[in-house]
Amino acid sequence: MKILLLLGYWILVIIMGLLYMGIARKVTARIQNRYGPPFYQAFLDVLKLFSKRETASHGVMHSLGPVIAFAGISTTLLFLPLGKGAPVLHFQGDLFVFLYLIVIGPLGMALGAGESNNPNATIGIARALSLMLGYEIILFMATLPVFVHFKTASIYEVILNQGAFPNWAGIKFPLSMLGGLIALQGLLGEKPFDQPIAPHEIASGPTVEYGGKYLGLLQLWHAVAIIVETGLFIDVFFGPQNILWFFLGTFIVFMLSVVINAVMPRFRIEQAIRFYWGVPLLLVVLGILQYYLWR
Amino acid sequence: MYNISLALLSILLGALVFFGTLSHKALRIASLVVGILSILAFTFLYLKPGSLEIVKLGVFAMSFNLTEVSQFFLWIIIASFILSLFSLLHEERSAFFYLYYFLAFGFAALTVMANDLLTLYMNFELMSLSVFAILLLGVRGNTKEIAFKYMIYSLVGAYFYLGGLFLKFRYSGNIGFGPIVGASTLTQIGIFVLLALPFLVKIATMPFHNWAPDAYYSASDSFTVFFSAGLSKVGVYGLAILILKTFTELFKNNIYLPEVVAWIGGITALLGGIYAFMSDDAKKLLAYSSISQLGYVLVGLGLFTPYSFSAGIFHSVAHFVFEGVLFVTVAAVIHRVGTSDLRKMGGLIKKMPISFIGLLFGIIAGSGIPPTVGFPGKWLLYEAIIMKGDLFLVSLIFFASITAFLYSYKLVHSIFLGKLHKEHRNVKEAPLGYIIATILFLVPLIVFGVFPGALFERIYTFTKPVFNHDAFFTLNSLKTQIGFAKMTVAGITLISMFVISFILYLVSGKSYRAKQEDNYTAGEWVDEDFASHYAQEFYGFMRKAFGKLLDLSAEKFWNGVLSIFKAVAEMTRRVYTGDVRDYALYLIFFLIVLVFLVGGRL
Repeated sequence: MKILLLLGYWILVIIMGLLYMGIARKVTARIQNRYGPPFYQAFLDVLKLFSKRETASHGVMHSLGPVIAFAGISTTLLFLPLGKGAPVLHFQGDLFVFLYLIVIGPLGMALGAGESNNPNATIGIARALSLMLGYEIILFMATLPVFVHFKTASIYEVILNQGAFPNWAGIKFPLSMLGGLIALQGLLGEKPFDQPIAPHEIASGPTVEYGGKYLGLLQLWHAVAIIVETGLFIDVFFGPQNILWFFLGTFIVFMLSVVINAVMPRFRIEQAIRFYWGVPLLLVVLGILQYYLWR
Repeated sequence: MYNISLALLSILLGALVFFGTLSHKALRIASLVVGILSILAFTFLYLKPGSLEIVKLGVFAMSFNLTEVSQFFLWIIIASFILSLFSLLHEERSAFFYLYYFLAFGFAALTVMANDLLTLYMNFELMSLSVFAILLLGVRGNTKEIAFKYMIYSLVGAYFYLGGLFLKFRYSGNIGFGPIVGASTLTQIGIFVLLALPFLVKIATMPFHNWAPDAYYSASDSFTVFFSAGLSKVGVYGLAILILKTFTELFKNNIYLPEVVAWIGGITALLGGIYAFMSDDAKKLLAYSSISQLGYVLVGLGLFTPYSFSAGIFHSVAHFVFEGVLFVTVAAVIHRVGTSDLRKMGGLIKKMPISFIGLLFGIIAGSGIPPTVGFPGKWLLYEAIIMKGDLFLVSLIFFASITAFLYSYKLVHSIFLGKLHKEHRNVKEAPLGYIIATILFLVPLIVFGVFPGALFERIYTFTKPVFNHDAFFTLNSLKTQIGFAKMTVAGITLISMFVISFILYLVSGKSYRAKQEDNYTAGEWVDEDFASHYAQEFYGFMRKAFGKLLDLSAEKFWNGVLSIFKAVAEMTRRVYTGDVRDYALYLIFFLIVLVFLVGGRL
């Protein structure tokens, strides 16, 4: 029963993620004054990719990379409570389990992409890893005062302890929330932080040698990753929501990111990293100082 | 049967291998196998904890005792030594090398068994001396200079330690591990710094780390397995014993010292990580990663809460496991490829798959991903720091832990992924010894990752008397006041999700094996001479991102210290010329001054 419930959440999240991706393309197109694909385009893409008859592979690790990536992000998903209504495996691990599980996905993709003997792929990975030095620490320091404020490291307890609207952690710690929002843009890999993919520069980076079912798995990975990454933000800063409001929240946050993406140019990689060490770092440090002052 | 005869045994075995190596190649291997077997037999059959053993040497006596904590570290040293011997089977070195190798092991074992500070000191220094000899017989670089650098750092540490030892004796009247009574806090901190210095040098804490990258780079590849996985634990043991037994009250009552020690560890972890991903040599990269990981250990030990201390000890075991497997696989690759330059390798996954799996798990554990051995220690460390309320320190540690992903990926990509070069087309899988060592390292890597309780139980036996805390673990889970982590659930979920994804992968379409050059390169023709391996300046852009931070160098700092010393010496030399006429002049000046000062009363 429990396992069926978990699988149900998993499939729901995949569907929602693909839906978000489709809508994102539509929104971006409308902003750029194009007509754009239909909102269900992402489903069609995945279906098409999985029904390809034959796909090129560069070796065992190249084939396993996307599998590990998808497995990793799915595992991470099960450790993230989807709002207060859908406790999944949260009681088996806390924030730090989550933070270390979430890197399995990118690591799997990095290993797979690395085997392809295409420098574009490796450059993309090198940039993605370096960019982590920018946004991960900001995201971590943004969530830190909230967790310490509620004296727990469990994401679910943070959700429950926040209480109704004016007591949301995002309202108590506005600077941290703002810093977290900026970090989220990098975590999602949207412009101005899309150096790892940079289609015009390194031919979409890590995915350059992937096609067919591999790309299909990576699309699914991306779909789940969107929900997981925005979901953590909603969980930590916007209090106990039921699953409907949870998805609405993630949708709003993701759309915000997509809108910014549509109108932004791209930083150079070292500019992006240095950007994070500037104003966002100041914001989250102030957030931590705010916690110390309140204590 | 005495425990300390392990040292005698290792000397005998060293002599055996020495003569074996001199006579015949087959005898060398046979005697090494005898060495492995007899140390294993000794360990399992004779080693008994808890008996005081005293060796009288003329006027003073050396005392040894195999306590819980000594036993814990002795096991690590024995395990890493034996596993490094497996890879040593395939390395041909001079006879003296083997002798010193066994001596270093013997003295390391005696060091952790020592029951007073002086015995500890003597064996520690004899161990350093053996390592110095091994470094002199290094395989790369300017071995003489590198070995002397190591020795100078060790000696300076030793002198400080001796000073600390005298002060300890002056205040407490003995040289045992017991606490110092009657000294002011400031004096105690001073003694702690003096006594801890050689151990900080041994675990290459910044700014005393300069010797390490060079030494690891230069030393024999199999020796570095033991060097990093085993001998660095002697340093951890020294710090642990000082903090647990001698300076317990100081660490409990003083609020600044634990913080300072922990921050030094954190900065070491961060800078070590940054230097690791900026270095282009496999051995240097691993050396810096070793420094960085031992930084976490120092944070854990220094912070002195029950959780952090246990986390530090646990992570030092994790360090033994994953640095061991990393150094073994890298040694195997160097054995086959003949270079340690990351820019000259690539694509070896198809030639050396087992080594690849070893290195892969090594980096996974090194980055701290569950359910491997690297995770529980880091997890507990985070929780401990958060409970202590030091949010900036935990951010620093987290930042440092991200650098692990960067250097890990650089290592695995540059060696195993990417392009297979023409000259490596006939490379074979590593020889049997390396494979055995790799596989043996992988067992604890998974087992202690899924069942960390098995190790924490041992650690608990010697942290409980000091901290008097409750057990925070079961066999497969950890629980603190603020968080919870169940390793088996993470592992099972990961495996089942992998199975599901793999089924999805299997049912959807076939895949064919593309040739190496069959690539998307925007219409450009790729042949095998096409430079498509991205290894040069892997994180080159980070130079711009970090800017001046990368120019920070302990080497420069110590050179600055050196130049000050030289200037002072130069000034002294002006006065102290060695010329009799100058001294005569000084005498006359002195007499004149004397006349002016006291002349009236003469």
